[in-house]
Amino acid sequence: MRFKIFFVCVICLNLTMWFYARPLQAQWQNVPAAPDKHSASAVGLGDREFAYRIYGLMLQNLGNIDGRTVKLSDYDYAELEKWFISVYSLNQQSNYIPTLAAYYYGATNDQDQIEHVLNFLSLAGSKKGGEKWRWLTHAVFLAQHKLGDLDRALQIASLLKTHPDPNVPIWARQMSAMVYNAKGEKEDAYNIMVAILQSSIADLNPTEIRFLVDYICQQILSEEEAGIDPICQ
Amino acid sequence: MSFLSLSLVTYVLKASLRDKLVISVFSIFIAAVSLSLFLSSAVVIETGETMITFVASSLRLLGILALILFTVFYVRRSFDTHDVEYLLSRPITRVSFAVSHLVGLSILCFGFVVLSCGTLYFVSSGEIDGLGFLLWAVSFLMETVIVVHAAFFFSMVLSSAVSGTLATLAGYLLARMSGQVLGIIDAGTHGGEKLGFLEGIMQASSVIVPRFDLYTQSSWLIYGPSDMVSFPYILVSGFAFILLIMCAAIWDLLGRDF
Repeated sequence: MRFKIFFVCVICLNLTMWFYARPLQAQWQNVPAAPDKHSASAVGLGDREFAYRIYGLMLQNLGNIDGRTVKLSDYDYAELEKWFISVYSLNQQSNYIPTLAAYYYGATNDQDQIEHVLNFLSLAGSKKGGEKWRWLTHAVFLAQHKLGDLDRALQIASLLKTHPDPNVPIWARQMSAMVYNAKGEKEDAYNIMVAILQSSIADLNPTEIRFLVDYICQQILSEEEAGIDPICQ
Repeated sequence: MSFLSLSLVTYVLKASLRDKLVISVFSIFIAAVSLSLFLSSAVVIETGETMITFVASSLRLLGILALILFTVFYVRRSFDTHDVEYLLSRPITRVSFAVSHLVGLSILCFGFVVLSCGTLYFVSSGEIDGLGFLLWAVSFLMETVIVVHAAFFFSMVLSSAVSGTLATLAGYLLARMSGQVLGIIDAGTHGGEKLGFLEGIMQASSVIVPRFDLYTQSSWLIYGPSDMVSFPYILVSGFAFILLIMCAAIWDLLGRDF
């Protein structure tokens, strides 16, 4: 008899727990704290690549919980930037994390948030080899057209101009000239384009040379200035 | 006097078949590969690289776990059923007993590594860095052999299979994390003066703990071997640890009363 009473009590306790837990649902706690770069590979048991891919998958699906989707504007981008930098330190050859930063998290319209994406893309794009400079061109685009901050765009474009990778194409190196042009600083834009043209003319494809000349004469210089400039003759 | 008994080596290999180790591992390998393919198919770019990483890492971890469990339970059962006393009553020395067992277990490791490499090569359709793959395979073989030797040693020294398994797993985890531990010590980002004694313990223990964080890196399969690790380091450090554990196991066996 005592056992039966005890058994009923246990069932009641379980029912009480069910009533307590039933309305509880997984909640979005925002971006968790990023791991320190010294211990970031711990999740892969010392295998940095494994840790990188696990974190990448986590960052890709962050916020998609319990069948719901969280708006990008609700993400803590300051913490996300720490995540990008920490995870990127595990593998600087892959384009997975920069892709997530540029194309997924870079889709936000919040200017403060974009600033964090730009910080990371500037870091990722400054690495040599593997066409990493592409992330700088994307950062220039985000800064100029989404952030609307031409000074920031110019700052990033100047990284492209002096990028250590010798394979950076001419159109990427001349981005600072395009930003100067957009800012209305025609003289600076002109000087950069002429310098690029003079220093690289032996290596350039005729199509690229025509593009450079056309940009100088049509976009930077006015009709009168082009008429007297020897490059445009 | 021979240090190797072929009949004992065969005995260990037959025990692995008897314990259904091979078929069990084959089954969990299929499950691991399936899960890895599923997870990697969800990433937005670099699906192939992610798949190689997930397959390689899961095969490595599951293979190690299976070999530890088999070794520890096999050795403890041999003691519990007095197989050890029976075998030592034959014209086999204690050194030959230990060496033959370790050779048998190493052959088992080799089989597992071949199976893992074959699986990895198959699922990646050969889209894998050749030299990196070779280094990964050699490194994986050394890692499994070291771990199996450690499992053999712990299961001889500790009288419980559970204790032996936990001790080996703890040692394996510490070995895999040793790079992070030493990195944190060097960077000075730990708890400060209060934990200084722990720093000393970690530094001292790292002398006899292999740097598994430098072994079997998935990134080699994608980007090729890194400049930090080379074949000579893997082979020399691997053999050094294998011999160390083998000597410790033989020492324990020689001093044991039956």
